Amino acid sequence: MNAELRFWKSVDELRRDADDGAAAGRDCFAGQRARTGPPPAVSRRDFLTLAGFGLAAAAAACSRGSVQKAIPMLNQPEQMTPGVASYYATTCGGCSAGCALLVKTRDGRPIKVEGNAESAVFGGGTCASGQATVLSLYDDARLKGPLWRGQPAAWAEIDAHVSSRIAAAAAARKRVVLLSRTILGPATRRLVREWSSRPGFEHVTRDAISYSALRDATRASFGVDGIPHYRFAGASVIVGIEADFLGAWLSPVEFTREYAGRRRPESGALMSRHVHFESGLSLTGSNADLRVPIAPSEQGLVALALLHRIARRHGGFEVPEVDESSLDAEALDEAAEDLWRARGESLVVAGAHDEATQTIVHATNALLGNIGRTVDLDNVSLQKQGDDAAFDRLVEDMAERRVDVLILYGVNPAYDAPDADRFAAAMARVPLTVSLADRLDETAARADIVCPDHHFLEAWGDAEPIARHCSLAQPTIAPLFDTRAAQESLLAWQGRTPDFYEYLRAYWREALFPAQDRYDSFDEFWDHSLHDGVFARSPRPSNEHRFEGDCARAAASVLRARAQRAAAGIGYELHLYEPVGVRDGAHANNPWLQELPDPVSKVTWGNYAALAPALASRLALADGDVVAIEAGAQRVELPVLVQPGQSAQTISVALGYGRTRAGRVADGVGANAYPLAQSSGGGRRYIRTGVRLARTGRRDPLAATQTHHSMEGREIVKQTTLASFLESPAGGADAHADLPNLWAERPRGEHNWGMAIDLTACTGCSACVTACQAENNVPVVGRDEVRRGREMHWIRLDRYYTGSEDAPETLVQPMMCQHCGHAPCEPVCPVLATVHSSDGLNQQVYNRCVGTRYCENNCPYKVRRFNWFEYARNDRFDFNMNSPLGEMVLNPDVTVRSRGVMEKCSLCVQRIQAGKLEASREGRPVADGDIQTACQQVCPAEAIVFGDLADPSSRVSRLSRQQRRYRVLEEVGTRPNVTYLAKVRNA
Amino acid sequence: MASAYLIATFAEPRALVDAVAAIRARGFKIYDVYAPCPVHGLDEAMGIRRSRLPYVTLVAGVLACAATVAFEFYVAVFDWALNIGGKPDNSTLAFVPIAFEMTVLGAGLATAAAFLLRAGLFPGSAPKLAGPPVTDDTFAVALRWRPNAFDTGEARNLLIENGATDIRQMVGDL
Amino acid sequence: MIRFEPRADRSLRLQPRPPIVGNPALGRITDDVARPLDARPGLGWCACFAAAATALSIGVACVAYEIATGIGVWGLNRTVGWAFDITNFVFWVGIGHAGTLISAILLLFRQRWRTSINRSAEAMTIFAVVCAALFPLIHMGRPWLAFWVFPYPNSRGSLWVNFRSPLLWDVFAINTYMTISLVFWYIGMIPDFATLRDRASAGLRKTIYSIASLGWNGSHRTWSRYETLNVILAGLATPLVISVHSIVSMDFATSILPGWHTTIFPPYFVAGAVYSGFGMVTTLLILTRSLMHLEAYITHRNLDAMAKVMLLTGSMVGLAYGTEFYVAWISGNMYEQATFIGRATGPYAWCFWTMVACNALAPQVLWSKRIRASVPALFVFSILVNVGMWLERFVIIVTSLHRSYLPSSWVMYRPTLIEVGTLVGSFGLFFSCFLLFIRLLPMIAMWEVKGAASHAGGTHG
Repeated sequence: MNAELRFWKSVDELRRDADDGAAAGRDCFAGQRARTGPPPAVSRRDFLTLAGFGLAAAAAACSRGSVQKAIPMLNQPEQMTPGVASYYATTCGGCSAGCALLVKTRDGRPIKVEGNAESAVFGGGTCASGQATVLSLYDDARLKGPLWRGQPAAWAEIDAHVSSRIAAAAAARKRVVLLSRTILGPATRRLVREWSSRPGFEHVTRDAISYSALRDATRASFGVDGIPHYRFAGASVIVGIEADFLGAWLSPVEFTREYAGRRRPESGALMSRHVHFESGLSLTGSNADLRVPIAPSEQGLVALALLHRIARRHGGFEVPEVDESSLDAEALDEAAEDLWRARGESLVVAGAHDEATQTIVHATNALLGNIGRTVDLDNVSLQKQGDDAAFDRLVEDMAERRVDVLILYGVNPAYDAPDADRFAAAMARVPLTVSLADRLDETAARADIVCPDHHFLEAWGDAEPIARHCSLAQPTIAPLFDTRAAQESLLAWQGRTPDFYEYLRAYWREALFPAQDRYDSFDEFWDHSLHDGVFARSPRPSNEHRFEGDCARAAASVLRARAQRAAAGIGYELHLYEPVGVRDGAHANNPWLQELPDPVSKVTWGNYAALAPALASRLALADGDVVAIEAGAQRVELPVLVQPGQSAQTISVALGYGRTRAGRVADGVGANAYPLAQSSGGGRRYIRTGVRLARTGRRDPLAATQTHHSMEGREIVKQTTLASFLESPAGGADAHADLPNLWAERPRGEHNWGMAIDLTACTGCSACVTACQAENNVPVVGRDEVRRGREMHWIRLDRYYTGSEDAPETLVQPMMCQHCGHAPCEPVCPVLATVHSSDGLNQQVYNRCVGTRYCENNCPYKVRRFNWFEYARNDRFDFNMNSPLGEMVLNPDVTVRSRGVMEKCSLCVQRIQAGKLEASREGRPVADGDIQTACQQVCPAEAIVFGDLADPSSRVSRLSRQQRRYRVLEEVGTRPNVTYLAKVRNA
Repeated sequence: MASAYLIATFAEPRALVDAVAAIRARGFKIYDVYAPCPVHGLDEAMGIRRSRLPYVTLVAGVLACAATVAFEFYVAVFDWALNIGGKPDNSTLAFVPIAFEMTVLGAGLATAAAFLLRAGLFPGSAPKLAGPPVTDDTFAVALRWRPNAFDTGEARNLLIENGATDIRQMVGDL
Repeated sequence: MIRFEPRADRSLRLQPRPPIVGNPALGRITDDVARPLDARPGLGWCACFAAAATALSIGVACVAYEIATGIGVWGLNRTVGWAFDITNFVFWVGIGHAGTLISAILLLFRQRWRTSINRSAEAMTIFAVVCAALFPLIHMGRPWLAFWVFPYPNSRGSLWVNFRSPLLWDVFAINTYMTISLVFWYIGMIPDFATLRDRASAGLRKTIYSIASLGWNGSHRTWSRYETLNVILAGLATPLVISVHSIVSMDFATSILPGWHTTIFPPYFVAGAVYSGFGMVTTLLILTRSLMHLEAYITHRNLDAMAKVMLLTGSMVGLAYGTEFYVAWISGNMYEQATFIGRATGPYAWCFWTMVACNALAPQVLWSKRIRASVPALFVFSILVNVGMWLERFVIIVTSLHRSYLPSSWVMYRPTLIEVGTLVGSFGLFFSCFLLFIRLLPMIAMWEVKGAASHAGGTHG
């Protein structure tokens, strides 16, 4: 695919497209910039052939009917050819990280999102929830048009009504409040500024999960408004305190990319060292070289103890002594020593929602001289601008009837506010509430008017997640329903022309065009920015930032909290976290995310109460026993998960579940843990002390895809330490000499496709699972079927624990079909439904399969998946494949499997074919890197490399010759084409 | 075509065997013997040659085996050679079980068919009975009358002396 | 008109004895065996048949539901691809083998005690193989395409089957076994059909028996060939029965799964098959001899002989169990060892120990003549054998699958009601067929019994 991406269109073609755009007028595709389209070499006749083929393929691939609805063929843009994939650069709206994306569209339907390799920050990687956003586009629960008091209404009358009410309110000096999530787009930001600049108008920002503490601390410590931009690439020592920066904290894709970039043992001493202090076992903690379980209430204490040690070394900085009896002093010493040794290229990050703790961490980074190097305060992150205090005031005012009009944009407080009921009550006292939600969610259901916003894949927009790093978003499909961009609603209600496309262009013309000197015409600048998707302004030079925070006060408050905790005494501590899959819950109605196994616990479909093994056995609780968690007046019932590495007295619970009005997939899955959070003294805090635990006697078995957690002493995931790796790189991993072949080697074909997976780089983030699901039309089977061990994922991440239950080491291993040279599955099939291709692929022939499952039994890796039922168009499995809308996400290049046949990883054979076709069309051999599998493409850690083993110079061949290489179960004699590189820990 | 028979019935297979032996000793030709169960020693007494069914079995078995092996080779090596688990096209050992099964099948069916043909047994053919009890509890010897072939009186007496329980004449087709 | 004229003088001296036509001993055999076929079914039979038919209909319902909905209605999963289905398959094939063994191998060894039971034993073989063949069929994801396992010429270009696959060997083995057993069984019944034909008064029965008896008239020339044929078929069936269960065992032995991949399987499975088969024969004979009042034919001598066979084969099976563990230990293969330790101590340990108790320990009581002589004791024991041998297959299949190479994929398997119903149904099918058989066909080979009776003491040629 890369080849296609690199392909450049001639400038006059660009011009022509621009004209088209003008001609097309309001057509939503006006001025779009596709990244591909037919190479100029192809004549119009070939073109039609391709188009014809494409249509046939599309028709054949179960993407029926509703397709037409998606394509306004009236004036078909040049670059859209049926059957030929086009790539549009845009920006992900999945979370506030705003990753740059390339969206693959087929026949006018976006079917797959991929990272935009042109982005210097995010690279080509994406995360699991980013991958899943394309499915949210085809969500049945989306509103089909505006609602007025629950009844469908016309935009015109709604606009008339809302505008008049707003005008009236303005005239009466009443307050009109726009409550929105963090707005990433600079253009939209300006629009909102203009909106709230008028008297009586107000804008309040609120994030589902609060980062206020970090913002406030940063403001107080450095006088900088924003979230520091953490640069893990520059950090050779990382100390994390409860910050799941590889999983869900701020910008996981960017962080994973930079973090993994420093985890290359071949680069020797440069490999970073990572110490992590946390309560629950998070994805990040599971990757740490040294992980120390702590109680949530100890976060501040740990930060303080660290600062104390650093300050001692640094001198001239007074930090009060703290009682460390409850902490692991040895680990702290070690961490401090490492940090100090790596002054200036170390990094301390904390996920605490407590200003004091963040202040202390800032101080630590300042003392270590990391400011301006690993902590960038000049080009700050513009994510998470939510202001809890302002929100609390707003609710106050609403309750006091001081708000006349409330417009809700991208927020759902009635679900994710700790005191949702209070908000709902207050909302009822606002004369006019307008929601811009895309569905009738918990909050929108209470609004008078709902004006559904576009899905981001249908809308124009831009983003600036990190100061001066801008990206554009363009529609990849005509709006599926009668929805309208939120910005256009706001424009309309200000009595301005509701055309955000023009507004956006205008903003870029005025604000960004002058900031560059590469192009002299704006259209050229615009076209190229749109084509590239990203436009990075030269970063602001780093200037001196002195730490001016009040450390003493911070320390004092930490110690006070500590004292309170001691006083509270009895009871457990509660730790709420944002899970990697459904994140804050906004995308909970996405079956791909619901069925994505948690990277660590491997549990799907719902949250659970994670308990330490010791605690569980003391309370005689086992996986699946339902317990009631009581915190204050709140009570939540959840099944237990016995989680090794969980801190002794802490219960960890994931947020984002327990939706009630998200849609038929998410409603009633798991329990809503937001009410357990506390919103005291301005900031929301996601930890709690004095929590009670009561057994209910009920059982609710967890739907986990992995139920055995030990490697049983088998060398499945090989690991070594950096030290021993450096002295003997083979590290025993090279032990296996090739077993003798019983038969003459068969003649090889032109290629020998294979894969190399670096277990040191892989964090286990599971993005590959969702990417594969999207690419290969892998069905969702639902909670019950997962419980029965029938999930269909072609790639899974095996996770093993080693060492003690209390502080285990975690090992992950991506596992998919190993495409064995001597595949045990092949000889046993009576009808030859699985055979070997001449270029090294183990092929599964769905049409021929009669479903004896012998191959599944004989597969030592257990990577084959059987279609136990008809998963498509079956009311038993009421997920995306059971709705004409949801089916639109299916990849027409991949068969939708019928019941009774076996399936498995094909190494994305459709991509291989596409790559070969491309190469032969250009009359050249397939070059290394031309073909990327979906799992490789999505991996932000670049842990997966696919390529041709027959070409000794290919990347995959070189990696397969590395000394860390080994093949799983080599001794069984399967001769896999997938090579693993042993895990190296910097311990 | 109908002909005449002298039918002597016996209750005891041993008596029967002796009778048959005695009669043949006198140079009479036994047309056939009918019995509800195989009578041992009668083959020798009647001078029946050993059956040639085993040859049918051998030939059919060899043919079936050869055909199967040939087919397996044709398919796996010539017509549709695929890379199956990296195994050689000609996985001879793997072809043995099916070849064996087909050998047994071919041999068994052929032998049974040969028997039915030779014995003239096929659905709907009317039984040619030397009296119903021969399928129940009676043994019978049948001599075929030919003009001046032998002295019926002597035959009859021999049979009686050897314990025939009943002697009658029968005209019909056996 | 031909007249046989005796000489007057001789005729005076020598008068034929008063005609006592026929041999009463043989006649009684015919009557005893044929009587039940004429008589109305007894209450016992009706009760049994009702039960069997009910079980059968349950099975039919379950299979219909499974085929209509998908294999998912069973408890299988991504790790355990076979369980009840193939367990039942191997179990029934094993049952079948005793029939062939009794009818063929004992024929070759001239074991005359077999004559009264070989017919029902063969019938049992046929029905068991029918039940067995059912499972590979319905365990397929797409059973309506089952015919694809046959190498038939087709218009799809070169498209053949995989002669390397043990499942394909099964297809041929089972079909051959089925066919040869049927032929053997039918050939064996021709003379008895003739007997029944000549007993029956004109009517439907007579017509049917006439057609079935192929015009058999008891000619000794035919008898002589007939015996040759029987010996040949027996000679073919003997290696066949051994090959069939060896091939069935190769479904497992040729795989790479610890606990399956072992060369001991063929002999071990054959011994097990004979053991389970004789168990089933014993159960059936003890039932039928009381149901059909055939104590005179199915004697203590038969039961005693079969008990001895079970003692032998059961002990062989026990030895095999031990050997498996020993080999796992001596091999030093950690996967193998884990599997066998798991068998004895894992979540399915109770199946394993029940199996050991039923198959290896229980037979040892048969050393005692008193127990071999007690019909109730043998009946109870024969049930244990069936249970134990079913569990053996379950243990081999499930415990090996549910924990194989990668612990990440270890799971538990729990059967669903549908699977249980299917197993019940297979028993229903088997017993329905068998009960119909003892009502409609001569369940004892009259001609063989007659042969044995009329030559009692005489030399066997």
